[in-house]
Amino acid sequence: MQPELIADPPRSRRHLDLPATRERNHGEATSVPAHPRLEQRLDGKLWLLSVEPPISVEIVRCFPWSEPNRFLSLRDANGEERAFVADAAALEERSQHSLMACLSRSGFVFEVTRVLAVSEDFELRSFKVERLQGTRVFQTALDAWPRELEGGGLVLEDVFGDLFRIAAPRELDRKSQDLLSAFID
Amino acid sequence: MKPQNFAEFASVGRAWQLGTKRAEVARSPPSSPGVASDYLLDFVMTPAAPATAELFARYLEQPARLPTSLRHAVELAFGGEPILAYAFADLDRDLKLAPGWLLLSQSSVAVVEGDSGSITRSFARSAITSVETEAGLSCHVLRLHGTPGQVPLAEVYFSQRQRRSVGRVSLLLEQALEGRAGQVGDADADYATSTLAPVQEAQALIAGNKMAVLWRLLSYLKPYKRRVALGMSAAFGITLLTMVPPLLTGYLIDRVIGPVQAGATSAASMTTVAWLCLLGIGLSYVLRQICLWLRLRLMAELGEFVAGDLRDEVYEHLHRLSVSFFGRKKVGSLITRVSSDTDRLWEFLAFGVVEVSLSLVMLLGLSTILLLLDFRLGLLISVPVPLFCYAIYRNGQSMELLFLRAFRKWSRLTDVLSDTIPGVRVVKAFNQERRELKRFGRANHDAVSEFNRIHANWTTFWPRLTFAIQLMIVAVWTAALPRLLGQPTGFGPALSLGTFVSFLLYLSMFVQPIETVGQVARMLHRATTSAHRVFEILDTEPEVRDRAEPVRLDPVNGHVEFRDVAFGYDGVRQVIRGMTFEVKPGELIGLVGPSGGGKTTLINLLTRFYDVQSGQILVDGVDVRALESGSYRRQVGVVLQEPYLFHGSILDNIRYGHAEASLEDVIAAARAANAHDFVCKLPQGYDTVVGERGHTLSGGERQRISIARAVLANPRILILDEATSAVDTETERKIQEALDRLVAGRTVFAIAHRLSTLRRASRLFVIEAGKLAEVGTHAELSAKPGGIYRKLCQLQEELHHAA
Repeated sequence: MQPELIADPPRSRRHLDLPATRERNHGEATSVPAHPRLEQRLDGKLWLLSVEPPISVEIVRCFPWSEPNRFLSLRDANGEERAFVADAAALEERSQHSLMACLSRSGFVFEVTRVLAVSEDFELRSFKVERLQGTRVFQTALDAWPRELEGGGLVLEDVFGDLFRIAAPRELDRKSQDLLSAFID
Repeated sequence: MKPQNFAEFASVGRAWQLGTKRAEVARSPPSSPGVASDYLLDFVMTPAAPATAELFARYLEQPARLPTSLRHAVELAFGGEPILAYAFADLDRDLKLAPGWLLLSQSSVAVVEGDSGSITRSFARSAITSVETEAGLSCHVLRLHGTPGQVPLAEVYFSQRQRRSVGRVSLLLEQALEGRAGQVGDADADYATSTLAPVQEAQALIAGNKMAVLWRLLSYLKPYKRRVALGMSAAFGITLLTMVPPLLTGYLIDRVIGPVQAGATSAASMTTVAWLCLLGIGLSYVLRQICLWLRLRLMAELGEFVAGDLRDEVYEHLHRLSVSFFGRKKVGSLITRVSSDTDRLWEFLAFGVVEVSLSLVMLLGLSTILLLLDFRLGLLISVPVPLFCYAIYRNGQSMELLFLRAFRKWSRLTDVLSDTIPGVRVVKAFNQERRELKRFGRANHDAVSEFNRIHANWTTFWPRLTFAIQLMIVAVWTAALPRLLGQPTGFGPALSLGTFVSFLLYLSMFVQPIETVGQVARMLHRATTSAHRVFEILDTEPEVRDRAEPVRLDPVNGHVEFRDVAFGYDGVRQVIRGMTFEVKPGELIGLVGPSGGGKTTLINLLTRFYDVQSGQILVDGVDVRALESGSYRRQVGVVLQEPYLFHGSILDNIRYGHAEASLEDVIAAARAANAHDFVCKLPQGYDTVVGERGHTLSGGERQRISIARAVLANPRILILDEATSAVDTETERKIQEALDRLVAGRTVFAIAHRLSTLRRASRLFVIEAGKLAEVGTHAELSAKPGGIYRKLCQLQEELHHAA
């Protein structure tokens, strides 16, 4: 378990009076827009309109599990932060709409609704799970324990790096819970 | 017949492999002829190599290769051009699981969406202007752009599982856009290799069948056939001899003691028989102990021999494997395989094999004897035995689950320890002792609770099992008592006391074999898992291998040439992209550039830790792949940023690459490396033990020992990888002096972030994003307006002034 998860969630933390964060770019201090204008264009990419000329950006969630729609870092093709969205809800409607459309892709994980089988093989633990769109078999390393999320969810990462989330393990059917019993506290 | 999802696809594929009726159905003519049914049929009927097909069906539940009908359809659409590469795409636009393909020929691209097997889009590769991959948590999107700003020519959605195979196709397209020719192999093999790589890296399943692994393990007993035969004979002897005392006891009671006590015969006439019976009992105990000693001794030693053979074989094989293998595997895991796993196999071979076969024979033998003595009581005892075995097996399963929970909790506890003990300074500096105490306390409490659940389980189960066996004894008494008292019931005629005593004695022997047989599954599982982990290493082929008749360059002159070299560690992301340069013997080449640019990779290729994916590296005009690697590497010296010293004396460490060097040469090398003075100040001089559990040397001292080692090895090509970056200024000066002596007369490649250390370089190579961005002397590059090197120099000067 990650120690951070034991601690209080970020929202309840006392705000400290810290100097404003600045990113350094080739030795020059640059500030990034906090309420950027965004647009998803025909080419499928998210474009940041608040800079001249507009550039396409990728979204990086700072807290993909605990705050999936807040604290979003928008980065250009070189991986440099060009805008930062503290809260997607604070953006104007069009930008918000574009951002959420792209977020659904970048934040996509497999949501597990049932566990059909768990078995052990050489070096691997194999899970057969059901999700809304059908069944999927995946494997994790034997010592790769599921990660526990705040609020009781579980995330399993398979050997390929795909993520499988079980939002509420205690609300799954009895068989699923039995199969997961070794991984739920 | 059309499968609804990947799982169904694969289950049909599996059925084919198993030759079941379901495959017969799949082979039968489709009810509605069309591409879709061909698609399924192809998946089922055109297998990749059996092992590959099995792995796909078992772990991925997706096609093991491109269906032939689809291949034909696409190649037809491509105007007959063969498919060069392809990838499976498993998501659709709505992020639902949906099969699709991305296919590439010399001049065209095709996209197939859904399981219809028909081409959704096809276009010329020349229409592509850029290739882009949007990475998400579990969904990636590959976009092939045509006109900038317009709808992409193709968008392919896929999960991480397909990342490598899609990445390969994307790489070929990117290379073509850069005007470079990508390396194209067999499309099916490339798809299979790239898709399966993560599973194989985690497991490298060679023999998926546990029985096959077991037989292979047992084949290691072959050289010790005589010992095995003797051990097994002794084991069977123990079983047979164990049966003797109860039998003789029954005989003694019924035929000797009983008649004498009843006055039916005289004691004198029975004395000899009585003593013979007693002698038989005593002799059987003696022989049993001899057999036991023989069995324990022979099999324990045998286990050690086999485990020793395996350790030798594994360790020898480890040294033949390429550096890439060690990059993929955790060090701890490899050490465990050579040590703990082989030890566990000793346990299985020495005791497991014999115990299991012995227990089975014992149970069968006991049941047979009991049935022969009195089949009614025999049945009463024998029938519940399988139930007891099953109960033990089920209990073993629930215990495994509990152990899994306990291991998980235990790993939390060790996580806290491995976090806080190495990081104790941070804990103290931030005054977080109480928090860490709480963390540990919570993890400790959880672990204790979990282990207590285990104890609760077994302490409940075993008394219950013992009680059940005792109930069986009571049942035997209940059935036998009326018969013993001469009151025959429906449960048979009168029973002699001797027979009944024999029964009771045999009954007491049932418990141990029941326990052993009940744990067979667990024992086999543990042994096959360990065997598999060991065999995985043995079955891994080194990726860098010498050719049949390698060229031996002795000595190497040091002329190095890179010709359009490309390389990537995962076969997808290119770390070196088309690099070409020539270095003359004796040149000192400084490699500079941002981190992750490819400098260390270039060195890894030059030392032939990895082979290039395309292009050539020539040393003295010979491709390094054609050289005898042992002889070549002996002439390439490496001084790393983090020098590694082995456990042993300083003398051993300096002599590591040149064991026969004289003590005079060792001292001369140490002097050249500026190491002699500090070594002499150590109480035990050159005999000081360093490394693990040895004398602690500073970073600069370790570095100078490693330079001395390189001096003594006298390499023709020398590689300095950040050799002075981790030391203070004074030490750096000493190391620099040592290096100046070391580099003379050799071809040197030196990586350094402190650019000042490279001012004397013959030439500087600025490497950025896997390419040779700038070449020139320090003076030339410093004067180049807008140059990367010039910018780097300015940044370092600014930092220096700011400091």
